[in-house]
Amino acid sequence: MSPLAAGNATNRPVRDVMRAGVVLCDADMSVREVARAMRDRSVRTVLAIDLSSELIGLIDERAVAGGWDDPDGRTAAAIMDPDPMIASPDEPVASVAQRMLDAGATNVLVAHPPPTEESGVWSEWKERGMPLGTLSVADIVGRLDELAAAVRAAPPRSTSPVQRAAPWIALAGLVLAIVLVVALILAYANGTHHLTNRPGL
Amino acid sequence: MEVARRMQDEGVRAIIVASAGSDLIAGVITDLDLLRAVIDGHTEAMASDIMTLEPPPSVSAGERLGSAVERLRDSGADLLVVTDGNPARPVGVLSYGDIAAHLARG
Repeated sequence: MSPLAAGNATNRPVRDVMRAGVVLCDADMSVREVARAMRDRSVRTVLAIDLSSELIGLIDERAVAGGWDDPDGRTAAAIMDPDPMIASPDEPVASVAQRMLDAGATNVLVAHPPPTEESGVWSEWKERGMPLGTLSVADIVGRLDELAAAVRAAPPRSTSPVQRAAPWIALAGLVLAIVLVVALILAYANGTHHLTNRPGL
Repeated sequence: MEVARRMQDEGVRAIIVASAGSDLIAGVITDLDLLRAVIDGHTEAMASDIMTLEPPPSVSAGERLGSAVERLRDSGADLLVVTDGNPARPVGVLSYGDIAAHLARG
């Protein structure tokens, strides 16, 4: 961890870390077409919308896998989450990270908060405007070098002291890391194993 | 935080931790585990400190995809370890992303 990177990132807003833009699909689209949209656009979430019936919802890989038994018959509307976690672009990353952990959520939509109190999801979205982007746990974890200080600043658990691992734990960790590297190399060399998701995000 | 870097470099969301010198799976680290470790201030923690100690549910390489998907969903885990042979050895991993990618190919 570079002290420089850790020191100046204590309150990074979500807008600095999010993946800008969302991939949209029609709510009538089949699960298979949604899966293809994810693959072709290299995204792990798709936002399904239906203007006429005022539907909107977030679809992640887990939801797509849930439609495996009838990928051509089931629609995006059937597998989407109509009430995804939403973060404001100005919310500190630390706060969103804590909310994601608490909810076990791996993806959030980034959108401006609705300017007025409205009832109903769709009217809220009409007020907000379209989402600005998405933020995933992977996006945060992938930038821990620069974000660790900001993420650690999460209010509810910020009192935990940084723990230093005992030397024997460090040694055990080193051995584990070496084994892990060898295992991955073997897996790749062999070619029949599939230890990774598609890279390229 | 080597694990975090690895995860990013490989484009994966979970990493299997193996015991030294064997095929035994010690546990799994997901991206949520990493995030929790950082929020708790354990940036210097080792893989063995933050991993889920329980080995993930497994599926045999010859099993139908349908039953694998069912097991993945019922277990609440992020991935299944795919095993093959007798005695069973881990040969790979099946994640939600893999299933989505499979549907896209169909």
